[in-house]
Amino acid sequence: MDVSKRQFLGTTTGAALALMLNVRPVTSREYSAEVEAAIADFASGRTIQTGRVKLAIPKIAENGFRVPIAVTVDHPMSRGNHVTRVLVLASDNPWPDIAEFRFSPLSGQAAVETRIRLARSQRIIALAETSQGQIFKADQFVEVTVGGCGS
Amino acid sequence: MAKPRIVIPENVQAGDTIEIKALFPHRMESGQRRDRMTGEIVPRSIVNKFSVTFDDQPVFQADMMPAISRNPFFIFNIKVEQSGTLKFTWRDDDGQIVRETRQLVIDN
Repeated sequence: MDVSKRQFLGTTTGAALALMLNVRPVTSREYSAEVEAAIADFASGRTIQTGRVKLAIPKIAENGFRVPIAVTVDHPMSRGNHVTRVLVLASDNPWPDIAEFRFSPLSGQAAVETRIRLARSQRIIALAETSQGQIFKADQFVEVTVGGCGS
Repeated sequence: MAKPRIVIPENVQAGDTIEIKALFPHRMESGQRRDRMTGEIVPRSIVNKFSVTFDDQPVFQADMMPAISRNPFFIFNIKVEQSGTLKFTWRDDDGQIVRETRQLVIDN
């Protein structure tokens, strides 16, 4: 019998089982409570805007132990107006936080490239804070073929 | 432990924003892995902080969690106005600190 995951989760049994296993559908539009808390903590009551934050991540990552990511914030870096922090989160890793980066006008550009571990396919979320108290957010979905946690 | 690897471009002009690459050899034990013999969780032991200054002014800092891959690697930027001293510092969960210094020299 060929039952798609969506069909299965659509049944009562499927939903109950999913709850028991704490399996969030990979394409869920909502973040977990933990991720929401991390975002709220960073934003600290300030309005979260879209734009300015650019994420460069492969659409498909073959190796979950080493996923290359680049975050660039298209924003001035002058003394009076610059990006101060960038927080990178994973929507479905054991813990949401990946890293927090700090920049200064000396940085020239608020940008960083690194390699991260992802347990499964999920969204990467990047939040940027500026010295004038603005918050910008971007996210991107990455499919991970071989998960990179716990082995 | 192997030495950190740092790559700084040559032929830097005053006013350039350049890329610096830094790699620190480290297992980055996430605290998620089980020892195959004992079945016990191997405790977390990671580099948790990497910071860079130029003439003692902050340029870049990374506060890391276990989701950063083994041998933490970063590419970041610095806007260069004059020659000066770059200081790189890595700190791990045990409080151990590793420091590297490089001179950044601009062409005249």
